[in-house]
Amino acid sequence: MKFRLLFAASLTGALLTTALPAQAATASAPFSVAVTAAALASVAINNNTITCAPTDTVTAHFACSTTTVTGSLRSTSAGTATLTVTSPAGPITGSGGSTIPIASLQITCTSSGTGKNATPGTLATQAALTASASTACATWTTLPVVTSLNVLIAFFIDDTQVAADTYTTLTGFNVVATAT
Amino acid sequence: MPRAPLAATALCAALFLAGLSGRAGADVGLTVQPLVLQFSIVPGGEAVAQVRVNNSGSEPLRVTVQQIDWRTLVDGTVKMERVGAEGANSLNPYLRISTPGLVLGPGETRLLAVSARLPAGLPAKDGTTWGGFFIRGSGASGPLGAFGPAATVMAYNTIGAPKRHMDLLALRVSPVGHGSLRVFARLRNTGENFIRPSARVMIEQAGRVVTDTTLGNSVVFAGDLRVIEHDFGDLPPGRYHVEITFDYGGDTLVEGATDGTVR
Repeated sequence: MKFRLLFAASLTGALLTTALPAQAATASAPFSVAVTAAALASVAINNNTITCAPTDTVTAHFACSTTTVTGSLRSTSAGTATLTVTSPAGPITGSGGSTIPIASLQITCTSSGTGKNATPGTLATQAALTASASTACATWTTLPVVTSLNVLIAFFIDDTQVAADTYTTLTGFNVVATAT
Repeated sequence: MPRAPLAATALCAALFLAGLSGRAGADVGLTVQPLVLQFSIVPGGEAVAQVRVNNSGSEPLRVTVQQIDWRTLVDGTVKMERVGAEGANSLNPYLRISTPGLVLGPGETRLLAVSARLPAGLPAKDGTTWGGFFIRGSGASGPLGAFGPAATVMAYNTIGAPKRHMDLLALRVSPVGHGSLRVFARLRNTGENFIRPSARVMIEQAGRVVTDTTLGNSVVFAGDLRVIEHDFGDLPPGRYHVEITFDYGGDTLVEGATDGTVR
């Protein structure tokens, strides 16, 4: 399409130059530009192993390790975008038979993404995870939602009910980008 | 299992919640586009769309695709559900994706075909059904379902031109400290189609606009309520006039106004 337009413009210019040598050769070829920008999510995490090693027995929000989510988000034209953490059913089980329910884990999310509306409208603060469900980490509400992602997810554990044991790795957690 | 002494807990408990053994620090990335698919097919019709998935990380990525029902809750959060939970509202019985899973090398992109096909015998009633997919990535060398990035692809099919409408049921503002006002609005989708009601909020003081912001919303399905709460900060003490205008994609705008004081 673009090549055809350029060719037509050149041909018209050549004809005008031939017929009207005393005048500047001008030509115009109108064209249109179509942009399609779909909602998208690019989500990367720099640490897919979250480790908790509580050193006391009295802390309801004992800090575990963190993961940083980077990437980008574009929502629908009037829609929000959300980053959530989905959890498996659990519980986390120890070799000695102890268990830790998913709800003992919490997340706090902080955002330092860049862009016009990069600041999330809501951020989780020590929000308890829910078994087999999602917990909102960050929601971008100011339109248009077009932002780079740089979200630190800090995990915590309520260590007041954690029995000494060696706990098996539990998989099935995800950081999920959603737009509707 | 008897509870261990708390002192022992303090010394010994170490929990590995999620992840790939020995893979701490791995860079795992997934890009999905588009996140929303809109079909407009009638019974007997079929349409196909493509979803692009890309491994944006530095490790081989196992991608798994799971079909989901879903809905939005009154506060706007999205709740993923098992297939079938939405009953007659679900598009999932007629929605297919070309693969349930694949492995992508670093930087590799694949196009997945999503098809919607409505049997000819279905009633051609105006309205929207919806469904979708949960697409997640995990390191290909680790266990399936390890902690990883994911995205949803939400699909809608609209038959005909169902009416869009919304009612603003309540609007108020209240001070929440630290120079902030909280805007609270409650609305209901009174139409026959889903809406994405954007809300332009203008806050004025003494005739001067001090804040002019447009807020998005997740989808509100027909008949559903939505509560919106949003805090506006950095407001000096004083009396404010708040105007909110909803554009729900219909023929009209819905406006409301109220006043509030920042102390």
